[in-house]
Amino acid sequence: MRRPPVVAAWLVRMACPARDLPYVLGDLDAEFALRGGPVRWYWRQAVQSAGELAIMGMRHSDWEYSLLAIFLASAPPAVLMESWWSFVLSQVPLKADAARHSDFAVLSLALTAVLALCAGTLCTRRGLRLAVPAAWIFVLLGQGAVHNIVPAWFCGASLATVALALAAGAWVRHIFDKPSGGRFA
Amino acid sequence: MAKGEYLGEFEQIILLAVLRLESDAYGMEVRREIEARTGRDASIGAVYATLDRLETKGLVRSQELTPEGDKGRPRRLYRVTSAGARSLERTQQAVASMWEGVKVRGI
Repeated sequence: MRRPPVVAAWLVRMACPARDLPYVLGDLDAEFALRGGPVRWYWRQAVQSAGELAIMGMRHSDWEYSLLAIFLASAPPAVLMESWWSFVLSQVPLKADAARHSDFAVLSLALTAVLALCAGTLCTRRGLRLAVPAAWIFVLLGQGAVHNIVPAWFCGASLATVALALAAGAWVRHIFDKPSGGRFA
Repeated sequence: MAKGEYLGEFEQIILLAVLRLESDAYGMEVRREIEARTGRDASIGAVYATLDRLETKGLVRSQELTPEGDKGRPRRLYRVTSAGARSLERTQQAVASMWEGVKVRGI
C-alpha cells in the first residue's frame, strides 16, 4: 500500500495546531488508505488545508500570536518607512542627510495603524494584554533607533496609534467570531 | 445569537452533515458526507477550522475519544447543540422567506 507523501504530511504538521494534529493527520491518513493511496489527492488536501489550519492555530495560541502581533505592529513599520525614505533621499543630490518631514510621520503612523489593526485581528484577548505593552516598547525602541532625535509627540502618537489599532483589531475579530448578518454564500 | 444573524453557507452544510451523521460525526466522516451529498471536495482543514469556529460560537460541542487498542486512532466526535439547531432553523426560515415568490427560470 502507498504511504502518504512525506512533504505534504510535513506541511500539515507545520500548519496544524498541536491540539488538533492527531485528529487531522489521522483523518487524512485514514481517508488516504480508504481511497487506495491517491498521492495527488493527499497533496491537494494538504495544500488546501494548510492555510485554514494555520489560521485556526493562530486563533488558539496566545503567545505565538502575540509575538506576531507585536512584530507586525511595532518595529517593521518604523524600519520600513525609514529604509524607504533613506532610499528616496539618497537618490536626490544634497538631500541624503535631510530631515524627515511631516509626511513621513503621517505615512509612518498610517502604516503602523494598518499593521497594528491586522495584528489586533490575530490576537486573542489574553494575548492582547501582552501585545499592547510590548508593542509600545518596540515602537519606542524602533523610533529611537531610526531617528536621531525622537520627537515626544511622535512617540506619543505612535503609542496611541498602536494601542488604538490593536484594540480596534480585537474588536473586529470579536465581530468576526459571531455569525455574520445576512451572509448566505 | 442576536436576531438577524445567520449562518454562512459552509457553516450550514457542516452543521447539517453533523446532524445527519449523528454518532459518527468525526472530521473525516463530515468531509465525506459533504462530498457525497454536494459533490464539493472540501479540504479536511476547512472542515476542522469551521467546526472549531462553530464550537467557539457554541453551535457544536466536541468530545475526544481515545483509541481502542493499538490499531485505533484518536477521534473527535462533534454534536450540534440546541443553539446550533436554533441557528440552523432561523437561517433556513430566512432563506425560505427570501425565496418566496422568486422565479429564477427565464431570467
